Amino acid sequence: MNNASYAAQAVARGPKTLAPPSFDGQGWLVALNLGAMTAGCLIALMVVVTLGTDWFRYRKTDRRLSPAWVWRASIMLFATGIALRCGAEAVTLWGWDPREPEATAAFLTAKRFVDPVAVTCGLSGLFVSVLALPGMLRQLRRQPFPLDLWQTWPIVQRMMWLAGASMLAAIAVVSLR
Amino acid sequence: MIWRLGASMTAIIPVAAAAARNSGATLATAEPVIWTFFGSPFQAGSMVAAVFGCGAARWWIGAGASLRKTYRWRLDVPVSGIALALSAGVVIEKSPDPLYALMIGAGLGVLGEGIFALAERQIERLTGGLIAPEAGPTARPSVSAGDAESTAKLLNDIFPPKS
Repeated sequence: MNNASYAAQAVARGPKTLAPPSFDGQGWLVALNLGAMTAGCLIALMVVVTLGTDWFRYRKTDRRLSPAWVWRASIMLFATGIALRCGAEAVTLWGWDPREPEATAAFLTAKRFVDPVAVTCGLSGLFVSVLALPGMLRQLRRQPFPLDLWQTWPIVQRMMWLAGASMLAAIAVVSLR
Repeated sequence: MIWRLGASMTAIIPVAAAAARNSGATLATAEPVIWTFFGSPFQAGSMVAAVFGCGAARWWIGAGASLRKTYRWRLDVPVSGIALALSAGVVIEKSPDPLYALMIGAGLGVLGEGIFALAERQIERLTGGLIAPEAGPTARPSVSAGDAESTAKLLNDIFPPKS
């Protein structure tokens, strides 16, 4: 254990808790975090995959820097950020095991590496949105409003089902282990 | 739709009640719940994780595909069932931790139809190619009666001319 990483040493010497010690032994909080992080990662991945397929399908229609391209790019950046951040955290929470300090420490350190990338994705999405804001608003304020909000309601429903399923699985796993 | 959502939300209540059962926060005090399947014990938490991963992956990949709705009972349900059974079997056999159980389940769910392809390749390898691989679905073009040209083309396809 002498040549192990600081993270591994900390995990090995810390209290042998079932979840990261920062939860302070509150099982319901662990379940909530586990479910939210899993659902966030899965749903964001779903969006990335859907928009990526769309990107490829409409690559002839939506040229670079066209409004649709910019809109899609910003959403994809946000979704990538959420997927990375939630995914890293979910792996940490799912994989927490003081009996395997090396693996647990590897997850913890990997999260520190992934987080800046996720933040960069999120901020890039913000920058792209802010850059596109005046033009987008001018287009979007045109009467009649060119927006049917409930067109993709089935997709959102699917996401909500996924979120509910992850929450159930998280509660079950936390209470059964 | 809303009432279905509400109905599934009520399913949380018993699970939450189970969660309230304080089994202790440390490894020393916690007792992992062990279930048995015909005498073989396995960790309940890992099993839930694997089943969730497999189900989410199976359902997530083709949830919107119209082809899948058409073949729901002939292809989708059997494939999902086999993927679920496989991941459950792996959990019983290997007793992995919840994270690895989740990844095994998700991986097998993503494989889905690939399981059949792998099995076919394995059989082929074991039998030394005795069983010829199928030529894929042969979609016959519909021929209207008296359409001499297309009939000739169809015959040409079935009985290729000797060169």
